[in-house]
Amino acid sequence: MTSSLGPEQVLAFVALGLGYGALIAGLATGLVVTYRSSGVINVAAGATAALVAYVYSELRTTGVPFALVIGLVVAAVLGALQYLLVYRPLAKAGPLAKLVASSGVLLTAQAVIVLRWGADPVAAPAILPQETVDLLGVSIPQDRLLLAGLVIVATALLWALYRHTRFGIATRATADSAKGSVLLGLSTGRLEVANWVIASVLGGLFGMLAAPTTQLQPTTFTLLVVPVLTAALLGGFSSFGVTVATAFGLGVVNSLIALLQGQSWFPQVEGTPLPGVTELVPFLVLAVTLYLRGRALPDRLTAVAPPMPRAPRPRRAGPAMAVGAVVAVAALAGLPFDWRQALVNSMLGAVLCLSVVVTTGFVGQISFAQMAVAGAAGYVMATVGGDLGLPFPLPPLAGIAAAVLTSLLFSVPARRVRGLQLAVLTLAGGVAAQRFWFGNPQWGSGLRPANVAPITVFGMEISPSRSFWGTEPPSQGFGLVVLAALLGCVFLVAWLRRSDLGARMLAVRSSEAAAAATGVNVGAVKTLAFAIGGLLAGVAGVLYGYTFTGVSADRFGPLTSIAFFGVAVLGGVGTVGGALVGGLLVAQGLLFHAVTTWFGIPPDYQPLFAGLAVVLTVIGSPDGVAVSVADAARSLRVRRLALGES
Amino acid sequence: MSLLDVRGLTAGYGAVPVVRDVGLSVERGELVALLGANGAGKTTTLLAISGLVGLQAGEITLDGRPVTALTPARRARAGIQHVPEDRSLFPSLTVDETIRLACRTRRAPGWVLDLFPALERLGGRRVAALSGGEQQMLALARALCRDPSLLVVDEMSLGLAPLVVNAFFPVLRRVAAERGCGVLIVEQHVHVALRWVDRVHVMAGGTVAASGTVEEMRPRIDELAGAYLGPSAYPTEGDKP
Amino acid sequence: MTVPLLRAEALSLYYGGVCALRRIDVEIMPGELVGVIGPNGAGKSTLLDAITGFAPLTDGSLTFEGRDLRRHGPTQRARMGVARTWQTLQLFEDLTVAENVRTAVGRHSVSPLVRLGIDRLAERMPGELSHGQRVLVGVARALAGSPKLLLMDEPAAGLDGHERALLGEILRDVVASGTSVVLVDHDMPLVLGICDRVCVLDFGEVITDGPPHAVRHDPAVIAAYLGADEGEDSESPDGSGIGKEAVR
Repeated sequence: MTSSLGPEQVLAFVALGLGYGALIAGLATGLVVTYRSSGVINVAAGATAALVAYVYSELRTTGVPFALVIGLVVAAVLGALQYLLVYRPLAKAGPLAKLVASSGVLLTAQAVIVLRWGADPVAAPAILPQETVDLLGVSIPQDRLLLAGLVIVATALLWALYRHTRFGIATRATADSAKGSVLLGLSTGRLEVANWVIASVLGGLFGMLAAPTTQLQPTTFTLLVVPVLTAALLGGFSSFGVTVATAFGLGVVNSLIALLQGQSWFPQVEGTPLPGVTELVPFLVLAVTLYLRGRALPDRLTAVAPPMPRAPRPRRAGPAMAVGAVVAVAALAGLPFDWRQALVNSMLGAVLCLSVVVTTGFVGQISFAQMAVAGAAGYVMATVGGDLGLPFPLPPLAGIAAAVLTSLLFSVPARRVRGLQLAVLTLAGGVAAQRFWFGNPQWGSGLRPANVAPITVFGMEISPSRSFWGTEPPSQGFGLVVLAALLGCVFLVAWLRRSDLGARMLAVRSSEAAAAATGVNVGAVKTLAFAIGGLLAGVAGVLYGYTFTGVSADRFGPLTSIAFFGVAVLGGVGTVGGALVGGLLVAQGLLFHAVTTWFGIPPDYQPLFAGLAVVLTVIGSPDGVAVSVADAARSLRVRRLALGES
Repeated sequence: MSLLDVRGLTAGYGAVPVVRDVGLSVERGELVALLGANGAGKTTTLLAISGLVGLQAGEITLDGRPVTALTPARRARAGIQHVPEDRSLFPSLTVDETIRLACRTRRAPGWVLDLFPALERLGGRRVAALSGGEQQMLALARALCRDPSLLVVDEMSLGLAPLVVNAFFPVLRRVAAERGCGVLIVEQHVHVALRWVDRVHVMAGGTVAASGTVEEMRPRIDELAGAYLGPSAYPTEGDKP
Repeated sequence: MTVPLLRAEALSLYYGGVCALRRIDVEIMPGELVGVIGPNGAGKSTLLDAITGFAPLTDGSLTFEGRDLRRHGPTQRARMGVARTWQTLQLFEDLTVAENVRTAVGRHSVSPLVRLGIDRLAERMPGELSHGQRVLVGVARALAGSPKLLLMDEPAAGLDGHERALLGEILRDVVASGTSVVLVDHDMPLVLGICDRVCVLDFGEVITDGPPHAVRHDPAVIAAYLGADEGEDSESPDGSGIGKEAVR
């Protein structure tokens, strides 16, 4: 456990960190390239690079020649396809749509990897020489130095490309003024394809080269996007130099933390070094930089300008809720157990989607930390009910309060940091919360789940796994509890949308300037939206804890947040109905249960369909399924009326 | 056959037309001004010609060939260069880089340098650091480097001092005379426009209300001024200040 | 004598090195309707942005009812009684007309929708309305907080003759109720017809300030709009004048 901390050791760990740093740098420069050419924050960069690395790894293990070249071709094709199939149709869409589409691509790539190669780590075959070299008396793996050197060479080439060639000048010109480029007669589409190919090849190359120095595992690779985004944001999405320097800095710090974790003085929890410190670093770096630099960053990043999905006022909310309640009660009474469980999962998902409706749909703040907020509720509830042993209404109430506070914490940067920057910051925050808090054996539950005591009222235990009036589990009583909570949340959000506060929220989303000019306190409205969004996520977190009779860190991860965000957008982020549709679509919810049962499609394919569905919805139905269906129904009614009259 | 022929042009944003049934023409080597009050539809007409605003009806031909089906970039390559009101320059590029992008060569062609000798002096400067007049010069030079057959300039004098504006008009005249290029401008200063152009089209309420040579239009200057300042705003015989 | 409602002294505003406003002095009296005209790019919208807090002043003093406005943000200025409309209207497209008006903070005795005669549109969405109706919704929203000063950015743009006349009546009515109005517009007959006083901007400076009939015939104003009707001696065919405007 304990080791000495001499200069040689530090040097050795610095060198080790270069490999990780090079991987981040390669992906981050690619991110700068795609952002500059298409205005897309490509959160799928890590997942795409992982896909390339997996392909290469399989080619090598099966002995196919020219594996590296084939890998690069695959990367190029993936880059071109992403642009042509996803971002070109979205050329005129807002940054929110592009970000959601990119999350959909991430989920799809991730799902493909898990389906083909599994979720467990794979040892990647080495490309670079594995010998060590002696540097100042320290033996250092040669590949790390080579990787660092290659990244620096690649960045220098990129810099020269964008500085001195006509292609590079045209790319920069188009980033400045797409209108100017078009009026000059440049083919901006061709420029964009080329830039996506360059970015993808760069990411794929360093993915293949660096995979052996880490480990090939889908989630780790996908989440690389957090330090990658940190580096790119610090470089203002324009400077290759700052981006690469930050990437190496993060890589080296990462490695040094690993070194320090071996020191006896490093804080320990239950005999192991404090976890999650490496995930905390990019979050803190981002939070501090963004807060200090405030609005000094490029405009495109701060303006999540309309078009946002529409947010019409709920019509006939009361009768609809009554009908829904009756249907749900009947379903709980009559459906077999597996369908009941799917229904409960859908209701849970709907509550979480409602929280996205408030923060993103009503005020236009993109938060990728919704699961972290839910997790805060779950873990505080587990602690209050378990370690402190307090009776029933207190643990869930404490949990919900904790969720509101956590959400308010994220609203502090939201007062200064806007739009896509906030999305990046909350993504990093979600990762940090999962590893540093939920993954901590003492504050959270480490790698195992923490138990949640079931609801007990008047000595009666309402737990999903208990029999309820003689029926088999999952308990219908618990289903009713979830239904009641969902109805409460639906009522809250429907009321909010009709209230003056809701009107002010949508005013802020529509135009912060115009809202301020009518006397709306923009900061206060955002804070309230985060508090209400936190409340709803907290309710979801508490219900999760009860449903699974425990909380575990892997349920509240950032990828789950992204998936939920995507599902919420799919259903319709502007309306209560959208959140309910989103609930139907969540993993293990009603729709996927139906698909699995009726069509025999294995549940493993759920994430793949979810990812593809998110991408397709953003392109085809930007207001979400619920609003599109309502529109279609209305136009059908109008047509029928017209036919009836004629 | 005119260089540019616009017939029955109806265009606007979304489904609502801003301009209706516009007809105008520009000959080779001719300098034509589009006049009219704010909101008359001048800018929309130019945008429809270069393709940035969609056409709802009508036909646009360049050299007899219809361009209506072409994208803005293809129209630019076909010879229509549009300098928009906001100039749409590339602020982070240098003057040299802008020229290189437009010409595919490192230096502007001799005749462009001849028109704008100051280009050479400004070579390494970033566009964002240029003065308003220098930016307008670069916008014109960038368009001319593509050797257009039709040059369209929107509000050239916007935000520029009269002295600077007066320096640009001779340049446009020379472009028309020496390169045989047709030039169509939108100009808010009626007197300035009438001093330099060959022909004017006057727009009002989204369509062309009057067209004619400068000689034909000069007697109707009160009418033109009225379009800007309202009826009887311009001092006439019976209305001494 | 009455104390001005708004007093701006030596307002200057630079964007980077570009001067948008140059030492502007303006006073608005209670119950006064002041027109602001000038060619495109003269700084009219920038002046409204500066007064409402959306453009950072480089220099100068700005007081409203004797209180320093520069110390307050846009929200506080709105609550103090400075309302505005926007050239692009900036209606909240997801809210009904009634909700648009309800976002305004402050109490009002008569509903501004009734006052402008558009109460029948209350439950419609802005996207379903004609441009003229949308303009009125923007005005209603600005009036909802019972402002003391209403700044209007080109409300007449895109309106037909009948709608312009209606707008003129509404503005006179607003002024009669005690609210001062600053009207920025290009519609000369409207501005010269209804305003008590007209202020002409060119290149970020006030070139004339006076009653409409005086402004209408001011040679400086005509030159600013139509270009100087001078001889042809000022031309410099080699383009050497370019780049020298900085010395202006």
